Amino acid sequence: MQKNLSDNSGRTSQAVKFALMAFVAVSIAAAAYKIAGAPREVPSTVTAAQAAPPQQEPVKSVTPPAVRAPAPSAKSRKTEKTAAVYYFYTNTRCSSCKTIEAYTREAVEKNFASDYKGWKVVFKGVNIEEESDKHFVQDYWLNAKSVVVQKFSGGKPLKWGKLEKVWQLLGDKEAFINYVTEETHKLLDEK
Amino acid sequence: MNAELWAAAVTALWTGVITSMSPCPLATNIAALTYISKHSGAGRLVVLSHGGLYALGRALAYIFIGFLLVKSLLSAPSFSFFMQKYGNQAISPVLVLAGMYMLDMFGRGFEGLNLFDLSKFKAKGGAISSLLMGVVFALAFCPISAALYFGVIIPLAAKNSAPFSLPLLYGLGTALPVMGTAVVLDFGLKKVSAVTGLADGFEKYAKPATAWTFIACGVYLGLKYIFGII
Repeated sequence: MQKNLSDNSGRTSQAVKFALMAFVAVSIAAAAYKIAGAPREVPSTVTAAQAAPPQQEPVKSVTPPAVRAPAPSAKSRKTEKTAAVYYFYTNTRCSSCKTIEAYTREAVEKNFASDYKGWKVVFKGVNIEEESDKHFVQDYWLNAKSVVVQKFSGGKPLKWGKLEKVWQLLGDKEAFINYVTEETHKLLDEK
Repeated sequence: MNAELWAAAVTALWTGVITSMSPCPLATNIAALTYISKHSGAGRLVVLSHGGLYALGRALAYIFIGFLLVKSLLSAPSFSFFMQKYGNQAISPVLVLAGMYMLDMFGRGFEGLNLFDLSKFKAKGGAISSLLMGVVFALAFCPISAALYFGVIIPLAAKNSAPFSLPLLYGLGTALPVMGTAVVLDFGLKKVSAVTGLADGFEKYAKPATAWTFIACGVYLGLKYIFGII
């Protein structure tokens, strides 16, 4: 009887061992497959000029497709003032990231439901792992999931600002929403 | 040291603490906590020493990355997203294998994988293992650690011309909650042991408990970051 118990325990331990080894092997294979299948993303060696963060200036001479103003006529489109409050995320979501997205969306929907001094403000979530949106990483010098406010005039990008404190204010919803609102106001008030 | 640098130092340390208290690094924090607490049966200051070495390991990793960034050898956005994407993926099998090793699943004489339990260093209490664990866990960037390190600490270090001290304080801050909890647990366990005489019982279960915690954390990270199931 004792021998049977010992045999069973030995078999279970062997089964656990092989299951864990299988998990490790499949994990490594899956990770390698994903890396091989992904476009090259190895940290690049850069020159000093490239490594310096960009100044807060217009980032692109073209309007990012995500915030193209829905103008009815060419004339009004030329003068329409818009601002996009971007939330940039990746395929891997986390609870803090979802909170940032929800709070930012709420700040925009609650405090910019109507135009602010002629500026039409919209919230836009952008997955920077999508091929078409990868340029945002370099445009705004993104290091992580981030909130960026970008002004446009008739589709032409103007000033922008990265809201660095969102990660520090995560625990205080009211302060977070006030921060997003105030920073957006500040940027829109700037000439 | 002027007032601005003092303020920056406090910010760096506190930012580290905030990073560590967020849900994202929970798995690695639990693994580190169990590993450090495993030494609770040993001498008085052993847990504190292992906690300190773990903190130093984390700090060294952040200092090294900061150095590479300052010297413009790395592009911050590319490196940050690369480590966020692949750091936790790489840690998953390492943790599972380390746990299996602690359970002697590769045989008692196996010496090929003693990253976390270097027998050569056993005389020193496996000190290097806690240091290495700190380095490895720091490199597995979570969204919050990446955002705060690259978005707050590095600009702060550049502004105050403190490329070593501020990343060092940030690294220590990220380890403080784990270190503090380990020391409190150690103190509590010693008190309980003194009253009940159950110290032998703790030592008996500490190793397998640490091993299974490593395996559980490794499996969790694999399911979340490699397979995207959780």
